[in-house]
Amino acid sequence: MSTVDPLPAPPLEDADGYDLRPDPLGATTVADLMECMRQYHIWAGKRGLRVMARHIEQQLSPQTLSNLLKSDQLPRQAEQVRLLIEACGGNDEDQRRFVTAWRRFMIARVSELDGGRERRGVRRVVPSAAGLLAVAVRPLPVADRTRYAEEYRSELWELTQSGAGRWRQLRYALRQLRSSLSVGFALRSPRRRGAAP
Amino acid sequence: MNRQSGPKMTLPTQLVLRELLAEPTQEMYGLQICEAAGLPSGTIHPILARFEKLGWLESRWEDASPKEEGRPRRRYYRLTEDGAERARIALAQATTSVSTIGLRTRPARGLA
Repeated sequence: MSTVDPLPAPPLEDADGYDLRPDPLGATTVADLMECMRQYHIWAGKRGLRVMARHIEQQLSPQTLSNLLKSDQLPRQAEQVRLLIEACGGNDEDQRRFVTAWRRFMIARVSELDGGRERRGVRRVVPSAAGLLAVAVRPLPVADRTRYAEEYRSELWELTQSGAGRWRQLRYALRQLRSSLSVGFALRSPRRRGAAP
Repeated sequence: MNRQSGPKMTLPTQLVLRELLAEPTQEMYGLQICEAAGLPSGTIHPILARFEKLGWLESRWEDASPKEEGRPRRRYYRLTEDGAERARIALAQATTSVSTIGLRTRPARGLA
Protein backbone atom coordinates (compact mmCIF):
# COMPACT_ATOMS: atom_id res chain seq x y z
CA MET A 1 0.00 0.00 0.00
CA SER A 2 1.50 3.30 -1.03
CA THR A 3 1.59 6.10 1.48
CA VAL A 4 1.50 9.75 0.59
CA ASP A 5 3.82 11.99 2.57
CA PRO A 6 1.98 14.73 4.43
CA LEU A 7 2.43 18.23 3.09
CA PRO A 8 5.06 20.29 4.88
CA ALA A 9 3.94 22.85 7.39
CA PRO A 10 3.79 26.49 6.33
CA PRO A 11 7.10 28.32 6.63
CA LEU A 12 7.97 29.58 10.08
CA GLU A 13 8.41 33.25 10.68
CA ASP A 14 11.96 34.51 11.06
CA ALA A 15 13.42 34.80 14.51
CA ASP A 16 12.94 38.06 16.37
CA GLY A 17 15.27 40.69 15.09
CA TYR A 18 15.52 39.03 11.66
CA ASP A 19 13.47 39.72 8.58
CA LEU A 20 14.74 37.53 5.77
CA ARG A 21 11.39 37.21 4.01
CA PRO A 22 11.96 38.36 0.39
CA ASP A 23 9.95 41.44 -0.53
CA PRO A 24 8.67 41.40 -4.13
CA LEU A 25 7.49 45.01 -3.93
CA GLY A 26 11.11 46.12 -3.68
CA ALA A 27 11.90 44.63 -7.11
CA THR A 28 12.79 47.27 -9.68
CA THR A 29 13.08 44.99 -12.71
CA VAL A 30 11.38 41.84 -13.90
CA ALA A 31 14.64 39.97 -13.34
CA ASP A 32 14.62 41.24 -9.73
CA LEU A 33 11.09 39.97 -9.26
CA MET A 34 11.92 36.55 -10.66
CA GLU A 35 15.01 36.39 -8.45
CA CYS A 36 12.80 37.34 -5.53
CA MET A 37 10.52 34.38 -6.34
CA ARG A 38 13.51 32.04 -6.26
CA GLN A 39 14.62 33.54 -2.94
CA TYR A 40 11.11 33.11 -1.57
CA HIS A 41 11.18 29.46 -2.57
CA ILE A 42 14.39 29.05 -0.61
CA TRP A 43 13.20 31.15 2.32
CA ALA A 44 10.02 29.06 2.58
CA GLY A 45 12.02 25.87 2.96
CA LYS A 46 12.99 24.96 -0.61
CA ARG A 47 10.24 22.43 -1.16
CA GLY A 48 10.64 19.85 -3.87
CA LEU A 49 8.78 20.45 -7.11
CA ARG A 50 6.51 17.42 -6.72
CA VAL A 51 5.56 18.45 -3.20
CA MET A 52 4.82 21.94 -4.45
CA ALA A 53 2.64 20.63 -7.28
CA ARG A 54 0.78 18.39 -4.84
CA HIS A 55 0.23 21.32 -2.47
CA ILE A 56 -1.66 23.17 -5.19
CA GLU A 57 -3.45 20.03 -6.38
CA GLN A 58 -1.47 19.87 -9.61
CA GLN A 59 -2.84 23.17 -10.90
CA LEU A 60 0.73 23.69 -12.08
CA SER A 61 2.87 20.70 -12.98
CA PRO A 62 6.33 20.16 -11.44
CA GLN A 63 7.80 21.00 -14.86
CA THR A 64 5.91 24.30 -15.05
CA LEU A 65 6.96 25.19 -11.51
CA SER A 66 10.55 24.40 -12.43
CA ASN A 67 10.34 26.58 -15.53
CA LEU A 68 8.89 29.45 -13.52
CA LEU A 69 11.66 29.23 -10.95
CA LYS A 70 14.36 29.21 -13.63
CA SER A 71 12.89 31.95 -15.76
CA ASP A 72 13.85 35.61 -15.91
CA GLN A 73 10.73 36.43 -17.92
CA LEU A 74 7.56 37.78 -16.38
CA PRO A 75 4.94 34.99 -16.22
CA ARG A 76 2.06 35.58 -18.60
CA GLN A 77 -0.59 35.25 -15.91
CA ALA A 78 -0.79 36.49 -12.34
CA GLU A 79 -2.36 33.20 -11.34
CA GLN A 80 0.90 31.38 -12.10
CA VAL A 81 2.70 33.67 -9.67
CA ARG A 82 0.05 33.24 -7.02
CA LEU A 83 0.07 29.45 -7.35
CA LEU A 84 3.86 29.29 -7.18
CA ILE A 85 3.90 31.26 -3.93
CA GLU A 86 1.06 29.12 -2.58
CA ALA A 87 2.99 26.00 -3.61
CA CYS A 88 5.96 27.28 -1.59
CA GLY A 89 3.64 27.45 1.42
CA GLY A 90 3.16 31.19 1.19
CA ASN A 91 0.19 32.71 2.99
CA ASP A 92 -2.46 34.98 1.47
CA GLU A 93 -0.51 38.13 2.28
CA ASP A 94 2.63 36.83 0.52
CA GLN A 95 0.58 35.74 -2.47
CA ARG A 96 -1.01 39.19 -2.63
CA ARG A 97 2.35 40.96 -2.50
CA PHE A 98 3.79 38.88 -5.33
CA VAL A 99 0.68 39.33 -7.48
CA THR A 100 0.79 43.09 -6.84
CA ALA A 101 4.42 43.16 -7.94
CA TRP A 102 3.54 41.16 -11.06
CA ARG A 103 0.73 43.65 -11.84
CA ARG A 104 3.10 46.60 -11.58
CA PHE A 105 5.43 45.16 -14.19
CA MET A 106 2.71 43.85 -16.49
CA ILE A 107 0.79 47.16 -16.47
CA ALA A 108 4.00 49.07 -17.17
CA ARG A 109 4.83 46.69 -20.01
CA VAL A 110 1.41 46.97 -21.66
CA SER A 111 1.48 50.78 -21.36
CA GLU A 112 4.95 50.85 -22.86
CA LEU A 113 3.85 48.67 -25.78
CA ASP A 114 0.80 50.88 -26.42
CA GLY A 115 2.93 54.00 -26.13
CA GLY A 116 5.41 52.55 -28.61
CA ARG A 117 2.64 51.85 -31.09
CA GLU A 118 1.30 55.39 -30.75
CA ARG A 119 4.76 56.90 -31.16
CA ARG A 120 5.34 54.90 -34.32
CA GLY A 121 1.87 55.81 -35.55
CA VAL A 122 1.00 52.14 -35.64
CA ARG A 123 -2.48 51.41 -34.43
CA ARG A 124 -4.68 48.41 -34.22
CA VAL A 125 -7.50 47.56 -36.56
CA VAL A 126 -10.73 48.52 -34.81
CA PRO A 127 -12.88 45.37 -34.54
CA SER A 128 -16.09 47.26 -35.31
CA ALA A 129 -14.57 48.54 -38.59
CA ALA A 130 -13.53 45.00 -39.50
CA GLY A 131 -17.05 43.85 -38.62
CA LEU A 132 -18.62 46.45 -40.91
CA LEU A 133 -16.37 45.31 -43.75
CA ALA A 134 -17.58 41.76 -43.24
CA VAL A 135 -21.12 43.06 -43.72
CA ALA A 136 -20.08 45.15 -46.74
CA VAL A 137 -19.20 42.09 -48.79
CA ARG A 138 -22.57 40.42 -48.28
CA PRO A 139 -24.33 42.18 -51.19
CA LEU A 140 -21.55 41.04 -53.54
CA PRO A 141 -21.83 37.92 -55.67
CA VAL A 142 -20.76 34.88 -53.66
CA ALA A 143 -17.81 34.23 -55.97
CA ASP A 144 -16.39 37.69 -55.28
CA ARG A 145 -16.91 37.93 -51.55
CA THR A 146 -13.66 36.31 -50.45
CA ARG A 147 -11.61 38.47 -52.75
CA TYR A 148 -13.21 41.73 -51.66
CA ALA A 149 -13.15 40.73 -47.99
CA GLU A 150 -9.39 40.27 -48.26
CA GLU A 151 -8.95 43.43 -50.30
CA TYR A 152 -10.93 45.54 -47.81
CA ARG A 153 -9.02 44.00 -44.90
CA SER A 154 -5.79 44.85 -46.63
CA GLU A 155 -6.85 48.46 -47.15
CA LEU A 156 -8.01 48.78 -43.57
CA TRP A 157 -4.66 47.47 -42.43
CA GLU A 158 -2.86 49.99 -44.65
CA LEU A 159 -4.97 52.73 -43.13
CA THR A 160 -4.05 51.72 -39.60
CA GLN A 161 -0.38 51.70 -40.55
CA SER A 162 -0.70 55.25 -41.79
CA GLY A 163 -1.94 56.20 -38.33
CA ALA A 164 -5.69 56.09 -38.92
CA GLY A 165 -7.53 56.08 -35.63
CA ARG A 166 -10.85 54.57 -34.71
CA TRP A 167 -13.05 57.14 -36.48
CA ARG A 168 -11.10 57.18 -39.72
CA GLN A 169 -11.23 53.40 -39.84
CA LEU A 170 -14.95 53.45 -39.17
CA ARG A 171 -15.49 56.08 -41.88
CA TYR A 172 -13.60 53.88 -44.34
CA ALA A 173 -15.71 50.86 -43.40
CA LEU A 174 -18.95 52.83 -43.63
CA ARG A 175 -18.04 54.08 -47.10
CA GLN A 176 -17.42 50.50 -48.21
CA LEU A 177 -20.73 49.51 -46.72
CA ARG A 178 -22.49 52.37 -48.50
CA SER A 179 -20.93 51.51 -51.85
CA SER A 180 -21.40 47.76 -51.50
CA LEU A 181 -24.60 47.74 -53.57
CA SER A 182 -22.85 49.63 -56.37
CA VAL A 183 -19.94 47.21 -56.31
CA GLY A 184 -22.36 44.30 -56.36
CA PHE A 185 -24.24 45.84 -59.26
CA ALA A 186 -21.02 46.39 -61.22
CA LEU A 187 -19.89 42.83 -60.61
CA ARG A 188 -23.25 41.39 -61.66
CA SER A 189 -23.46 43.37 -64.88
CA PRO A 190 -22.81 41.29 -68.00
CA ARG A 191 -19.16 41.22 -69.00
CA ARG A 192 -18.59 43.17 -72.17
CA ARG A 193 -14.89 43.34 -72.71
CA GLY A 194 -13.91 46.77 -73.96
CA ALA A 195 -17.42 47.58 -75.03
CA ALA A 196 -19.64 50.27 -73.71
CA PRO A 197 -21.88 49.16 -70.83
CA MET B 1 -23.37 60.47 -85.23
CA ASN B 2 -23.21 56.79 -84.47
CA ARG B 3 -21.10 56.81 -81.34
CA GLN B 4 -21.10 54.12 -78.64
CA SER B 5 -22.10 55.51 -75.28
CA GLY B 6 -19.19 55.05 -72.86
CA PRO B 7 -19.23 54.49 -69.13
CA LYS B 8 -20.68 57.31 -67.11
CA MET B 9 -17.77 59.69 -66.68
CA THR B 10 -18.45 61.20 -63.30
CA LEU B 11 -15.77 63.40 -61.80
CA PRO B 12 -14.43 60.64 -59.49
CA THR B 13 -14.36 58.28 -62.48
CA GLN B 14 -12.33 60.78 -64.47
CA LEU B 15 -9.94 61.34 -61.59
CA VAL B 16 -9.36 57.61 -61.20
CA LEU B 17 -8.77 57.12 -64.92
CA ARG B 18 -6.39 60.06 -65.08
CA GLU B 19 -4.30 58.59 -62.27
CA LEU B 20 -4.23 55.16 -63.86
CA LEU B 21 -3.28 56.70 -67.19
CA ALA B 22 -0.47 58.75 -65.68
CA GLU B 23 1.65 55.59 -65.54
CA PRO B 24 -0.37 52.98 -67.44
CA THR B 25 2.11 50.17 -66.89
CA GLN B 26 2.44 50.79 -63.19
CA GLU B 27 0.27 48.76 -60.86
CA MET B 28 -1.49 50.51 -58.01
CA TYR B 29 -3.52 49.22 -55.09
CA GLY B 30 -6.89 50.62 -54.10
CA LEU B 31 -5.84 52.93 -51.31
CA GLN B 32 -2.96 54.23 -53.39
CA ILE B 33 -5.34 55.13 -56.23
CA CYS B 34 -7.64 56.90 -53.76
CA GLU B 35 -4.79 58.98 -52.40
CA ALA B 36 -3.39 59.78 -55.84
CA ALA B 37 -6.80 60.80 -57.12
CA GLY B 38 -7.55 62.82 -54.02
CA LEU B 39 -10.64 60.77 -53.26
CA PRO B 40 -11.68 59.61 -49.81
CA SER B 41 -10.65 56.06 -48.95
CA GLY B 42 -13.36 53.56 -49.66
CA THR B 43 -14.98 55.36 -52.56
CA ILE B 44 -13.39 53.83 -55.61
CA HIS B 45 -14.34 50.18 -55.57
CA PRO B 46 -17.55 50.64 -57.57
CA ILE B 47 -15.46 52.42 -60.23
CA LEU B 48 -12.72 49.81 -60.24
CA ALA B 49 -15.23 46.95 -60.32
CA ARG B 50 -17.05 48.54 -63.25
CA PHE B 51 -13.90 49.02 -65.32
CA GLU B 52 -12.57 45.61 -64.43
CA LYS B 53 -15.84 44.09 -65.58
CA LEU B 54 -15.55 46.07 -68.83
CA GLY B 55 -12.06 44.72 -69.35
CA TRP B 56 -10.41 48.11 -69.11
CA LEU B 57 -8.68 47.12 -65.89
CA GLU B 58 -6.98 43.98 -64.72
CA SER B 59 -6.10 43.13 -61.16
CA ARG B 60 -4.04 40.59 -59.31
CA TRP B 61 -2.88 39.77 -55.82
CA GLU B 62 0.65 40.78 -55.04
CA ASP B 63 3.11 37.91 -54.99
CA ALA B 64 4.31 38.52 -51.43
CA SER B 65 3.25 36.11 -48.75
CA PRO B 66 1.19 37.71 -45.95
CA LYS B 67 3.16 35.68 -43.38
CA GLU B 68 6.51 36.89 -44.63
CA GLU B 69 5.41 40.48 -45.08
CA GLY B 70 3.44 40.56 -41.84
CA ARG B 71 0.47 42.23 -43.53
CA PRO B 72 -2.48 41.26 -45.74
CA ARG B 73 -1.89 40.99 -49.49
CA ARG B 74 -2.56 44.00 -51.67
CA ARG B 75 -4.71 43.83 -54.75
CA TYR B 76 -2.99 45.61 -57.60
CA TYR B 77 -4.78 47.24 -60.53
CA ARG B 78 -3.52 48.24 -63.94
CA LEU B 79 -5.13 49.36 -67.16
CA THR B 80 -5.13 46.81 -69.93
CA GLU B 81 -3.67 47.94 -73.25
CA ASP B 82 -7.14 48.18 -74.74
CA GLY B 83 -8.45 49.80 -71.56
CA ALA B 84 -5.78 52.48 -71.62
CA GLU B 85 -6.74 53.40 -75.17
CA ARG B 86 -10.44 53.48 -74.37
CA ALA B 87 -9.81 55.44 -71.19
CA ARG B 88 -7.93 58.11 -73.17
CA ILE B 89 -10.79 58.41 -75.62
CA ALA B 90 -13.42 58.47 -72.89
CA LEU B 91 -11.54 61.15 -70.98
CA ALA B 92 -11.07 63.23 -74.11
CA GLN B 93 -14.80 63.00 -74.84
CA ALA B 94 -15.64 63.84 -71.25
CA THR B 95 -13.34 66.84 -71.38
CA THR B 96 -14.83 67.92 -74.71
CA SER B 97 -18.34 67.63 -73.32
CA VAL B 98 -17.44 69.75 -70.33
CA SER B 99 -15.76 72.31 -72.59
CA THR B 100 -18.74 72.39 -74.90
CA ILE B 101 -21.10 72.97 -72.04
CA GLY B 102 -18.75 75.63 -70.75
CA LEU B 103 -18.71 77.45 -74.10
CA ARG B 104 -22.48 77.39 -74.33
CA THR B 105 -23.10 78.55 -70.84
CA ARG B 106 -20.46 81.25 -70.61
CA PRO B 107 -22.11 83.76 -73.00
CA ALA B 108 -25.46 83.10 -71.38
CA ARG B 109 -24.01 83.92 -67.98
CA GLY B 110 -22.34 86.94 -69.45
CA LEU B 111 -25.59 88.21 -70.84
CA ALA B 112 -27.52 87.67 -67.69
